[in-house]
Amino acid sequence: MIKQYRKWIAALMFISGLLAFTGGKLQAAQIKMTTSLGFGDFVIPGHWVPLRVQIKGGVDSARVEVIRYNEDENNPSREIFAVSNPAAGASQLEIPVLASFKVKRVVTRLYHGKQLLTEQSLNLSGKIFPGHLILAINLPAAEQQAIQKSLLPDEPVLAVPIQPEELPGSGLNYDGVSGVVINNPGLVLAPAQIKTLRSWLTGGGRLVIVAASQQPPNWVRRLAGGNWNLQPKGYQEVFPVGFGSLIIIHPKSDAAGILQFSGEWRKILNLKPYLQSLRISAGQCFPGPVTVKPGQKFSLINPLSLFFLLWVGAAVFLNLYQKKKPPLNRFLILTLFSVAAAVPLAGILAKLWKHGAAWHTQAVILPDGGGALVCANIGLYPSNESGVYGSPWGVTVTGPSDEEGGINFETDRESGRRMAFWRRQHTPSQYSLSAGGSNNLVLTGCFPEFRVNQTRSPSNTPDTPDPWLPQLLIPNETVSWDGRQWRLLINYSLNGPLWREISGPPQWFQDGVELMKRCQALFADTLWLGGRNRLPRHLCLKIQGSPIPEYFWVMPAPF
Amino acid sequence: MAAIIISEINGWRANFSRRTLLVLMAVTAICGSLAFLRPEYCLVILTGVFIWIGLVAGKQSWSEAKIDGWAIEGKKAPGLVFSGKLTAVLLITLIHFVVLLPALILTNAIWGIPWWILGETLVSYALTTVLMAALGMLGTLSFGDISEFPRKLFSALFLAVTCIPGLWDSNPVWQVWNLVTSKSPGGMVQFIPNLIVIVLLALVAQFCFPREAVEGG
Repeated sequence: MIKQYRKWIAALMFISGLLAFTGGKLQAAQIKMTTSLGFGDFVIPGHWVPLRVQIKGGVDSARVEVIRYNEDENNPSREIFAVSNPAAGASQLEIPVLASFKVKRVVTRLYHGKQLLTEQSLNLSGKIFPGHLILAINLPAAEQQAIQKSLLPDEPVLAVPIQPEELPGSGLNYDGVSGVVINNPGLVLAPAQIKTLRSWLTGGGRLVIVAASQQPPNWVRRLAGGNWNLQPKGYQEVFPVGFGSLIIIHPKSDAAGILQFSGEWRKILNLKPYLQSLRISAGQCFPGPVTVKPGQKFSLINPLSLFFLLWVGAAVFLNLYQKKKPPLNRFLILTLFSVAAAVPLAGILAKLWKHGAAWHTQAVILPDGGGALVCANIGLYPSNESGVYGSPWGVTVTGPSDEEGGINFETDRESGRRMAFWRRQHTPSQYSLSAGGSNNLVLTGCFPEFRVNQTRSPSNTPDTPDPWLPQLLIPNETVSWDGRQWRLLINYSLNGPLWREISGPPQWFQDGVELMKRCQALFADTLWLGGRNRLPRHLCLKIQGSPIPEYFWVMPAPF
Repeated sequence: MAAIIISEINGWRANFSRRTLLVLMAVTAICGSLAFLRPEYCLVILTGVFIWIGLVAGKQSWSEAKIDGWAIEGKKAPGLVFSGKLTAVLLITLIHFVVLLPALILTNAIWGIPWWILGETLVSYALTTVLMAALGMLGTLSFGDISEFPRKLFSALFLAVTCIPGLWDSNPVWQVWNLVTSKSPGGMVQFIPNLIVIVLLALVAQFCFPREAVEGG
C-alpha cells in the first residue's frame, strides 16, 4: 500500500522541511509618522537641533531609527530607541540631532519588530542658517522683524515663532539657540523645560521675559535665584545666571514702542556678529570625535586555546584509556571539571578584554550649578585588528537614570557601509549620538543638574557654597589655566585653594588640554579649572563589566 | 515507549556516544581557538554538527532495533515507536548540550552574548536535530531500507533553502545566524512551526508504515 503513496509522502516531507523554520510574519499596521527638524525647519550648522517625530497609533510597540548621512555617504551613524505604546495615542518625540557641517540628510525609520513601517528623509541643504537663532513665544510680528534686523547690514538674525510646548525639554536642543523671548508672563512650563532653560542660561544664553504684570511666575523667580528683587527697578532688569542673563522687561505705556527698534533688541539680547558670540554649547566645546587609542591589548588566543586543548585532550585520553566501556560517565565528569575551570577563566578573560572597547570622556561643568555637558568618545576595536576583536553585540553601556544601551556596528542597507549605532533602551535618554565612524562612536549628553555623590564623609568637606567642590578639586589632580599660566592644585581647604605654578599642562591632563583651550577661548577673562576622574556618578556612562574609564573635566573657577 | 527510549539511548551510548561527543568537542575547540569563540561563527558551525547528529539518528545508525523491528516484532504502533525514538534523540541532544556547557559559559562571559540567545540557539539545535532525525526515519520507513535517503533528502532541502532567497528563513544555519545576531528575544513562538511539523511527521509515521508487513509478519 505504501508504495502507491510514497511520492506524496516524499512531497509532504519536503514541503514540511521547507516550512519547518519559518515563523509568522507580522502584518503592517495603520500608522502615521511625521517628522520635522530644527526650529522653523532651520538648522544651525555645527549645533544640535531637535528632530521632532510624531507617531500616531497602529502598533503597541515600535522602534525608531534615526540615521544621519554625510555628504559623501561615508560613516553614516544610527540611533535606535523604542517607542512605547503609540497605539494609545500620538507619541511625540524630541530627539537631539547634531547637524554637523558634513551631514547631508537625516532619515527616520519606524519599525515594528523587523518590519519597516514607514520612512522619512529630511534633506538639510536649503535649511541651513549660519547665524543667531532667537526663539519667540507670543511676540508680535513687528518685534520679531525688529529682532531679525538687529544685526543688519552685517548679517541677518533668525527669529522663529514657536509654541510654548516647543521649548526644548532636552538641553542639547538649545545648542544653536542664541536667545529666547517670551511675551507671555503667565506661561507655565514643564519642570524639564525649566531645568534645561536654566542650564542653557548658565552656559551663556539670554532669556528675555516681556512682563506686562509686576509678578512673573514662580519659575522666572527660580531662574533668577538669589538675585531676584521683589520691587522691579525700572524698565529693564538683568539677572546674571552663570555666563548668561535673565532679562525682564516691564514695557510701560510710554515705552511700549521701544521694542520695535532693532538697536534695542541688539542690546537686550547682547547680539554680536555670530562668529564672535560667546556661549558654552556642546557643539562648540566638542566639535568632533577624538581619536580613541585602544588601551591594553589582550589576546584571547593563548588562554582559550590552552583551555580547549586540555578539554579535548582530556576527553580523548579518557576514552582511549578504556576503549570498551561506554565513556558517557567520564564525559559528564569531565564536563563538571570543565565547568569548574571555565567559570573563573571566563571571569578573568572578560575583565581583561572589556568586550573590545576603549573610551575617552570629556565634560564641561557649567557655572552656578547649571549642570554639565559630557561627551564620550567610544572606540570599538575593528575585527581585523590583530588579537583584539569587537563583540558582535558591541558594548553594553549603562548610564545615568538606570538607562542602558548598546553600541555596535551594522551594515547599512542603503549605502552598504559599515556604520556605528547607539541603541538605547529608554526614551528619552540623557545621551545622544553625535557622530559615528567606522570604528568609533561619540555620545553627547547635557545634564541640567549637578549633584554630589554621597559617598564621602561630610566632615572632610569645607564649608563652601558648592559642597561638591572638595570632591572635584583633588590635590595634584587638578590644574588651573588663565590663558597664560598653568598651575597645579597643592591643597584645597577652608582658606581656599593653594596652587603651584607649572611650566605646562601635566602629562595626565594632555587629553583635556584641547577642551580647556576651547572653553578659555570663549571666556578668556575666566580662570578655568581642569581635572580627571572625579565626576559624579549620575553623569557617567559605564561599559558593563569594565572599570570606570578616564574622565577629563573643565569648569570655570567658582572662586 | 520508555523501553524504546532506553534502548535508543543505550544504543547511542554503546555505539556512537564517543564519536558524536568527541566530534562536538573537537569542532567547538577548533572554532573556539581559531575564532576566539565568536558566537556568530562557532554557534553557526555547531549547527552543522547537530544536523549531522540528526542525520545519523535518522538513519538509525546507533539503534539496537529499527522502527519496523519494534513494530513487527515488538507489536508497537509505528507512531509510538517513531515518537519514542524522537524523544530519545531529544534527550541525546540534551546530553550534548551538557558537554557543551563550559564553552557556553566562556562565550557568554567573553562576548557578552545574553543567555536568552544561547537558550534560543540550543532550542533551535534541539529542534533541528529532532526534525532531521524525523525526516530521515520517515524517509527510511517510507522508502524501505535505503540508507542514503536521509542524506539525499537533507541535500535537497538544504539546496532549496540555500539557493532560493525567499526560503532563507527555513534554513537552520540561517536561523541560528539570525538568532545569534539578534538584539531582542524572539520568544518560543518562533519554534512552534518546527514543533508542529515534528508532530505532523509523527502522525504521518503512524499511517505510512506497511501494515501488511505487520499482518504478514
